Amino acid sequence: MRIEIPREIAAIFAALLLVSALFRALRLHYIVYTLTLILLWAYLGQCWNILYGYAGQLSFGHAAFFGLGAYASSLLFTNYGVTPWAGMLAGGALAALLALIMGYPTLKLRGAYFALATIAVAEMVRLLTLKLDFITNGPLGIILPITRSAAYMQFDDSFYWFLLAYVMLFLLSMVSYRIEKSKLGAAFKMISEDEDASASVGIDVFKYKMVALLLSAFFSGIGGTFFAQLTGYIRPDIVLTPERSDEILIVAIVGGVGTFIGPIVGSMILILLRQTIFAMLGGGYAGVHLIVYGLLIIMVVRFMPEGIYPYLRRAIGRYLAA
Amino acid sequence: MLGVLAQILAFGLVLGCIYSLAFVGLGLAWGVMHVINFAHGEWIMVTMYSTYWLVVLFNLDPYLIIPLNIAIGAVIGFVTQKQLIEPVLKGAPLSTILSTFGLSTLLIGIAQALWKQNFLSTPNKYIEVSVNVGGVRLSAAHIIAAIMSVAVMLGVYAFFKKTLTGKAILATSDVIGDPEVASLMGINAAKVRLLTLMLAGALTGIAGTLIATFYYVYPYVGLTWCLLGFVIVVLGGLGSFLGLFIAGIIVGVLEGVGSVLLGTAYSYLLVYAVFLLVLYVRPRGLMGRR
Repeated sequence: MRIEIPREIAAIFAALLLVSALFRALRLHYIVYTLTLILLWAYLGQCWNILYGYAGQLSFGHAAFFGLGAYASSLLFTNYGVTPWAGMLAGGALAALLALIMGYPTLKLRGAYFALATIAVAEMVRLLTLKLDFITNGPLGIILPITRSAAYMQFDDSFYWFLLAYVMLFLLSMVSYRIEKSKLGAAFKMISEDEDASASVGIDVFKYKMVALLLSAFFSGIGGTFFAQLTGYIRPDIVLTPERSDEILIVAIVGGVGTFIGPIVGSMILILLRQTIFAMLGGGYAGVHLIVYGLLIIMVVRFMPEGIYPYLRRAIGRYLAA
Repeated sequence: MLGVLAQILAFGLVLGCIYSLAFVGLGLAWGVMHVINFAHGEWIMVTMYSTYWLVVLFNLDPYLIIPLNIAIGAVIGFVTQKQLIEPVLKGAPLSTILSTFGLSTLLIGIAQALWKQNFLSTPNKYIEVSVNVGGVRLSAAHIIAAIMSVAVMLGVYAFFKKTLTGKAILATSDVIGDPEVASLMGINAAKVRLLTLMLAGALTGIAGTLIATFYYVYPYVGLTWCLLGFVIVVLGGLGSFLGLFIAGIIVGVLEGVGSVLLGTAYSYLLVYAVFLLVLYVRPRGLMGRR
């Protein structure tokens, strides 16, 4: 089987690699690190986009999948010495299992009920992680052992972290692109537009929504493992807080849902804003980034409901045509 | 054991009364205009903060702040409706959720930037006085909040049953009334929506004041309350006052049972689990019309 790499993907990823190689050559490690965060959040935004952008199911609880992935691989690593490369898959599988359990009762319902259930589930996962401290170490979290070995997914050079995030985002972009062009994507789109009409032409609405949720959760769990390895330290109030869920949602909504490129654009905006705010204000003004997030969503939903990417693309198209 | 049970039931009843007032506006916006107000919890938070600061700075009796908080709530409702809901009503089905979610994030950010993550308790004499009724102990603040909530809820009920404006609001709801017939009768739907949200805001103003007398305020307080509100509104069923009241009491009791079994910080685990169960077994709630 020959796998084609579509032109947009080739262009975006060639540019990304060039830019990061340049910053690495200049030894600007902080910028390479920031780029890695951008890729990770773009990846998480794409996970979220599979569920909402393609299948129309709104989630306010993706931190649950992300956090479960982070905790699964980290616990396997610290307690049993399992390499996070395997732990990653376990994390993804555990997140998918949670998706199955929560999706079964909630995906039969319409629109808002699923969204509400996702918040309840995410809060339950957060509270359980705090409560079951004999497994999870409660609010103190887990500090990962330092091995400095690629066999345990730890790298000394920031560029290797970047490369790993890069490969993950590339693969998920390919998956997203395939979904967009496939029958699966067509079924998702129809469901997101009109569930009754989809059911009447014989689409098993529940099954397709479940597929979208499982894919989204599985990849989010993998993203969680990456984050745990990158930072080396996880806590419920870092990986399971509503703020993580919100950021994942904002990346996709602000960038634009329904295409795999939207979350990449959204992630650049969100992470650059966030890192700038943190760098400028430090820890003293804790809420400023939330103020910016809130205004960003309000503005985008009102003035650019499709997100910034489609708007940008049209603007560039007009500029080139003129 | 029996004493603990009586205490849980009494406390659940008191909380239930307060919950029904705190979340009647959430149910109204949902039932009347299909708007799921994600900022409802932060609306409550705003008037909790205003209560805290007015009490601390001017040494006021918290109940005197109610009229001001009603006004603050109504203004927030007005702005939310005019700026965040009405302009996106024609967009994608879930855009009002996203838009109000943006407001919720914005308000949490403002609260955090201004007052940090601190948990602030409004100092007042009512929380310090506890009343002993047949072995059950409740603070005066709780009892006053419950009684005032019931009184206001009766007023709200009368408003919807007896006044023309109240009837007009219900008529435009497709859960209770019929929006097409309502528009044929000359009811201006946009005006009704504005009125509904202002009323919802005003009611959270009262609720926020009452809650501040016995509950601490912090930037994320609205998140817990908002989720609790969704649980209660869904459990009660859209379009039913009695359902809301009963659901409030059930959740209040569940919280009590949860704190005894799991510890105070984890009592919501039980509440959320029951919520998921309700979604599975009976998504239209206890007394929902559809």
